Amino acid sequence: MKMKLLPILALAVAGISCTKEIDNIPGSEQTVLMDKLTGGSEDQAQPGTLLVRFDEKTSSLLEKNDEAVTREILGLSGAESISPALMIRPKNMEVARKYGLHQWYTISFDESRPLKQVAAKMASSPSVTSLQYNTYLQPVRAEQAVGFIPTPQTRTSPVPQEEPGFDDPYSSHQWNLVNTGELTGSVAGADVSVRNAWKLTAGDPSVVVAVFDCAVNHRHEDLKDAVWVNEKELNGSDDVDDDGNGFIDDIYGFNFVQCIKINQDLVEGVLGGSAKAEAVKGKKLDYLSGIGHGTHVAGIVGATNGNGKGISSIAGGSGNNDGVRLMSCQIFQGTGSEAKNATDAQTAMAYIYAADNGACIAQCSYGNYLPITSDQDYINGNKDLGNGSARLENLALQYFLDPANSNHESLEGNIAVFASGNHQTAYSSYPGAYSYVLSVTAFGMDFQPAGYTNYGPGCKISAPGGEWGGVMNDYSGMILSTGVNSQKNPYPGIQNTNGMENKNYVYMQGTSMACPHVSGVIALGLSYAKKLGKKFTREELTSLLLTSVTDLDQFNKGGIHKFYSPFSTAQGTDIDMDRFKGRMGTGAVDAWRFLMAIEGTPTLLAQAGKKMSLDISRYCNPLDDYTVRVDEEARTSLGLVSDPVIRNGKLEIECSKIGSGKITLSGKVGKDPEREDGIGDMGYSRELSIASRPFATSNGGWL
Amino acid sequence: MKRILYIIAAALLLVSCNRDNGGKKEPLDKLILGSWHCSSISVDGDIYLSFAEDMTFELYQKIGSGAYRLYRGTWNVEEDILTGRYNDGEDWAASYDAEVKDGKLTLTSKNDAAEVSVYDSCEIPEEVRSGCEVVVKALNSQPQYSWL
Repeated sequence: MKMKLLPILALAVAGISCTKEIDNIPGSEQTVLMDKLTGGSEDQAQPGTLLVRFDEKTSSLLEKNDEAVTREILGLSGAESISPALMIRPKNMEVARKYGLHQWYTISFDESRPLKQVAAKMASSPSVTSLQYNTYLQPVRAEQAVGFIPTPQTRTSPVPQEEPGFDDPYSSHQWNLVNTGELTGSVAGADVSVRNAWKLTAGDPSVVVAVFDCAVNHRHEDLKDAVWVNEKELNGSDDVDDDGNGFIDDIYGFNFVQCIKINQDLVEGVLGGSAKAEAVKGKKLDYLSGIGHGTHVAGIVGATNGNGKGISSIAGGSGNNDGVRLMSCQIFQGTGSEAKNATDAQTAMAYIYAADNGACIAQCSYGNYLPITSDQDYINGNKDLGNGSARLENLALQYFLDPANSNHESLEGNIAVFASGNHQTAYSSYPGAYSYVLSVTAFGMDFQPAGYTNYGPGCKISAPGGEWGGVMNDYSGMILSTGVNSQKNPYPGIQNTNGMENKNYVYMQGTSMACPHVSGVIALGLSYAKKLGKKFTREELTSLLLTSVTDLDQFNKGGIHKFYSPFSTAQGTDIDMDRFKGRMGTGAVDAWRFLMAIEGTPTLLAQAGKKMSLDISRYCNPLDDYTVRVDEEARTSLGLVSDPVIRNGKLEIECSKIGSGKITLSGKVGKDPEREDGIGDMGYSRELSIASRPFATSNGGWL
Repeated sequence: MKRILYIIAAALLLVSCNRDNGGKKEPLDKLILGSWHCSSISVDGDIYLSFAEDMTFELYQKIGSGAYRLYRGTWNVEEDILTGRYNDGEDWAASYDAEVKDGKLTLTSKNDAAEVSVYDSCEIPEEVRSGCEVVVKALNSQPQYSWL
């Protein structure tokens, strides 16, 4: 062991000494800096700014615009200005203080100055408790979007008439919503099981889903009635903060990358030529969101149902303008060399905006590509790996989740859902892997894990992400949703029968697409909870979600499976399917079971005086490693002979007398089994009632 | 008086006719046809039953919260004893003494418990039919589920 470690240590020492020389920072300052800087590489950060956390006393003085303190800080660092990193409204300050958000400041200086040098100066001040580079985000790539071509039909026969659904013309192509198994190689039921859920609810406008992504195209024919609208700004004056929330003209959300209103003119290619150049020059318009990632994601959650146009969505209402509402929190712009993504501070601000303006679900199809494998590394960065820290984003995320910021009458707290990542990596990307949020893996139309999906520690649940390749070597195995009809959109559009191209509806694939399926199902659940007059904590609701799933492993036959992935390799890749077993989260999200779980606790029938093996698969994913808890009242009422256990997916229970009581199944998902300090787990539980009768069948039938 | 005697005689004749035609009395396997709603259930739940002429039954049950679950299978009556088997091959947990009287079906389990359940003649509501889960279990296989 020592022999192996020595060369590594030697290299590390060499690395530090090199850094010393290059940075020209005195040794004492270097030590303090390393202590206070929460990791990160200058390459990933915004030049000319640092995020600094001051102690309570100093931040309190800065809050009061104390000139002496301001002068001292500017003098120390040579910075040009200092301002609060986040805009927090006075009424929300109490919650913000819980997470120390009020102590964070942005210092700005000449962009040519090395970040590390300024950071070292700041770190030398005793009033600075920690500081970080203002790192940029990276989106989880949609990998590939393909234009939607209406023919050939993706089903071999029309949608059966008895299926509940809507008159949206392209809904028959959405296997992700209703998979009848008619497509070659597909498996019936490899969907989100929403068909019957729609009989109970199809959404509610009280549920606001914030889409953290590129701008949502609010002019799209299938989204214009679904987007969240800030009425005061809509009916107010241009360039005026009509509602006084600190954001000017935030009608449909806000562009946090450029700190401007969301504007679709250039996204849709309405402007061109000199007008476009002028607008870009003036930075008044967002011209890079035309790839449509955010628009695609939004359509999966809540494109308007039953309007006779386009697609159906999970929570887009029943055709009576009663779907959920989509708030655009723009943190990405463009791709490739034109990409301009939000910094950590801007992303943090987006979470605070969402919390303060009514969103109860954060739909986040993004994640970090860097090898972050613990909450600690995510929050503090990893100095050894040079990973950037996302401490401010994390604190703001906690602010969003806080029960004090609840934005729906049926939920205590708010919920955040993330994509797990598209790199076949054996752990979820962060922030999704964080213990208090959901990370979503992706499966294809055959219920097989998608070839690109991340899996393993940090992953909480799975959903349709689509797949070019797998069983369908064309676009029909991908996810159809709303697109942006933009000259900037790199994806092929609809080839109508007249040969004209239309990019309003496109196919994409990725965990970016799986993620909004889970957001949509949660939105549906909250709509139903409201209808029933029920209220849940975030932990309770996620517990119900994580247990209301279909076991994916039953469809995974193992062995080698060939995937064709035109976006990553020319000829596709061979994948050992065994790698995914038990590592895709608790299972495939199931809207119907989720609504049933929200409705209440089901009762299983057992026969008194007989050892029974009861089927629990309709109520929760039957895992043998559940812990079964029985309270004393139930134990006495049922006269339990021994502790019930889950074996081979069934509840084994022996009641000695007629009675009833409740048991609780508890499980954990997402834990890294190999590292105690690695990615953490999310606990969940499910309550079931047991009623013992004089006689009972094993299938649960009453007679 | 004579007239009264004639009436009594005629009544006796009618009664004896009925008794004589005991085989013609509506048999249980005819009386039981149709749909029923359980009015006396020992747990928190709701049960609808229907018996068809082709000797198949449908059982819609909701025990506790959640959706109605639909079980299908076959039934039989011999000497007023009702038995049945689910489509997955599992027999009912009990056989029943069955009686239909005044629009009510009474089932008494033929075991030590002698549990009595009373069902009223009733149409099965459309929302129950359309909103249920269908339990489809094939013989010798893991349970699978589909939807109406």
